[in-house]
Amino acid sequence: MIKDITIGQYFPFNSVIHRLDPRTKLLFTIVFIVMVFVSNNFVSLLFNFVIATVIINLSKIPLKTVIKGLKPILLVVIITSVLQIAYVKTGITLIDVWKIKITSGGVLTAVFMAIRISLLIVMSTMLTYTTSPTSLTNGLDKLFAPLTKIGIDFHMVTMIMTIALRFIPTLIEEVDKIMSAQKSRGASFDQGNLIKRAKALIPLFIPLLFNSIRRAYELANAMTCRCYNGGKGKTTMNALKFNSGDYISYLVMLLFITAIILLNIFCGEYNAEFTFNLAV
Amino acid sequence: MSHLRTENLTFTYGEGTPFKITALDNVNIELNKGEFVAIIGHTGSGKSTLVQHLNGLLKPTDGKIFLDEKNIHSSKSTLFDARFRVGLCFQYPEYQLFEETVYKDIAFGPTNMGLSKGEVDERVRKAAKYVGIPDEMLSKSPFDLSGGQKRRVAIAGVISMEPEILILDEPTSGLDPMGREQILSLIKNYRENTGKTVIIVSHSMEDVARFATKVIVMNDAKVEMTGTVDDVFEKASRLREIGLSVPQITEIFIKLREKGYNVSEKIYTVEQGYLELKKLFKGRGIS
Amino acid sequence: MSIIEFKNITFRYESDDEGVVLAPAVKDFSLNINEGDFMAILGHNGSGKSTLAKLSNGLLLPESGTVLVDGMDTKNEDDDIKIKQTVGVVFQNPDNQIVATIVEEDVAFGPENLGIEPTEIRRRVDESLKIVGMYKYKKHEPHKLSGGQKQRVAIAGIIAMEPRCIILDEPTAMLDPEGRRDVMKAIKRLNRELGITVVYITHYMEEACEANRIVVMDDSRLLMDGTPKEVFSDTDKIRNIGLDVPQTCQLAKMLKNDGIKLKNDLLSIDELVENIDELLKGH
Repeated sequence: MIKDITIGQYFPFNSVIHRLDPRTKLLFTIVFIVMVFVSNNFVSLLFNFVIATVIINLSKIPLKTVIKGLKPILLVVIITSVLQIAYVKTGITLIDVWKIKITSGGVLTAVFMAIRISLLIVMSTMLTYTTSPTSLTNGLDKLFAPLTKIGIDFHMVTMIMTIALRFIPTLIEEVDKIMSAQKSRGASFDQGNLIKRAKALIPLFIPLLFNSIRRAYELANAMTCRCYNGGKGKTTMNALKFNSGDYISYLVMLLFITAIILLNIFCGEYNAEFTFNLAV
Repeated sequence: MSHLRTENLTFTYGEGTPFKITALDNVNIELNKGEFVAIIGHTGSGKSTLVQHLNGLLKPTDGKIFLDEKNIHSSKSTLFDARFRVGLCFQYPEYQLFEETVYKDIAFGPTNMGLSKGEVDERVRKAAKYVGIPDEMLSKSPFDLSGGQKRRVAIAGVISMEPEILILDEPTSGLDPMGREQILSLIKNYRENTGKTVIIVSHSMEDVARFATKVIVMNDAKVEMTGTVDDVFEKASRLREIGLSVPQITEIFIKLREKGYNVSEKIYTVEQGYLELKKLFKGRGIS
Repeated sequence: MSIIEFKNITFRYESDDEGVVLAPAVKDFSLNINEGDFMAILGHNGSGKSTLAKLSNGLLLPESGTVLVDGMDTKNEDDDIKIKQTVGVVFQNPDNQIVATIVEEDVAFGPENLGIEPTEIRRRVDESLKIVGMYKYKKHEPHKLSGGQKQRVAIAGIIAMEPRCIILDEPTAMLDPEGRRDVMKAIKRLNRELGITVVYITHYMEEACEANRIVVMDDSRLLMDGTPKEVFSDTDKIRNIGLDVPQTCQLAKMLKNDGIKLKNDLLSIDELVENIDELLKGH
């Protein structure tokens, strides 16, 4: 159940994308998200799509896996599309039966939004698919380190992330074990109505909570014994280093931004009627 | 007729993936009523997976489990039945306590069985007595007890279901010698007083050698040996080979044999060792 | 020279209930731990031995008395980091001591906190992992390791800080025989090859026999202090406080009571077997 979710999963392949510095990948993802948002016509969007395809190809992650990653947000895409069709009434009327009126503008906006959301999700998942959680945390730590100067302790955020990542598998195992133990005493977790089911979770959550607090105490002691003092004056063994791939990526990023700006200016904000006529 | 038996029991994790692990490979065991069984094996030998099949918690990939010659997976009701007739107490059971009071925690199992309040009350008190939890402790929070007391409360939580077969997975792990002795003797007393079948899972021969009437040794997902304690200790050096700890006293006699002395390898208590050595010394005219 | 000195210390935990004063967990306790020692501390659960571990590097501070680490008072906050770097502590549950998601990064955690140069951290991490026999697992995820392996990673994490003394609080209590053996082997190496002072808290008698000095605690106090042979020769005293005596000692004692002339200080299996062999060969 918990194991089926692919968002946040890491695929340890050895590809050009995997080898990039996590900071580069983080920045690229941010740039891509911004570009998808500023793209105001189908040509720009198509360009984003091409970039995404190239990256997926380079990463060696099977296309099937990437598409599967979209499954959890399918509902969001559908709802958004339906809302667009319902509210946007520009362009040529395609269907007008009873109270339902569908226009070309509505359909095109729906398609536009669907592609946009899908691209956002695909590129965000690509980040976690190709970057190990540890490396990602490292990248975040370094990328946002300057924030400390303005009083934001970002190190604490990344420390919390590291500990969370470290303990998630332990906790999943523990949930499994407690459930089995309570089932052995006749507890059932999948029967009855909502209230009954929620109540049935008490024998699971109370021990889990108590054990987690105990773990937290012990971990805090262990960290103190290892001279942890909130990250002041901390060094890093595996210092991050840019290589040629990273420099190329930054060049690509720059070209990408320029291209989208130019495409936005020259192709203009998409005109539903125009595009539709073109399509017909 | 056997009380509980498995037939070609096989269990694999991650079927159809490259990470497939066989945790149980064609396991056939047979238990009779009233036996005191020890299942011994190192970590990952499959012993814990095996016992989780015996009360129907895990569903076998292949093979069957019979309780009184009835397949426990034949219907929903047989499975429900097995859950209560075969009581399973996990390793470190104290980490599963959750109720406000000791009383309520011990009552959790019997309540789930749908028993009346009076019956539940009777069972809770009986179970508490078996594990040596005094009445005044029943109203306390289980989280305020000492480690050893928590462990005993958790065991009472399974005993209170009055299972025909009681399984305890590593009941003494993490305890000091005194705690270990207390738990083992309470299990022994429980069995003597109720005459019920008891299974102890352990990686130490030391704990179980004194009590068990039957020993099942697991190794690499398979049954390696079955027999009485004597039968198994006859192959004491093999036990060490497969990563099990044997009592120090047994090792002394393995070493004496290696030196060419004709002593028994079936020695697992200091008393036995003393008698065997006395015989040896007497034979050579030393006493 | 002493690396840790406990001078008449008393410590008690605070009760959750207001106004309730708990009995001291450690009572008027004095002990010197010498540099290079391999000391075992024995005692049943609740005898105060785990509290002692936390008092030894300032994790807990005594109510009265002083704890000196290499001459530094643990009450002195300015020396806090220095003290924790000198005396490292490994706890019982390996799961709750590992911070990072990759073995080598976890071992690097201590040296990183101390602000050590990256190349030096790398050297220490590799070295520490080799000593505990976990080098080939350096890129592994800790949660996929066995208990014994995790505990050895935790030990490597302490030795990477290059402490002079390491205190292990029942490090094998949650492990299976194989894991226990491997951890014990690693600890012996620390003491013999690196000269690190080891304080080993346990209730496994066979493990305590590996030490050159045993301290027995009972009821928050020091009960016995001596070599393993001295301590275990007093079988009755040990058993009276609910601890076991190694079976070799028990057996030797029974035979000696029968007039069989075994040596007085037999401890290990090999020593006993050897002695029996000698006696029998004479006839």
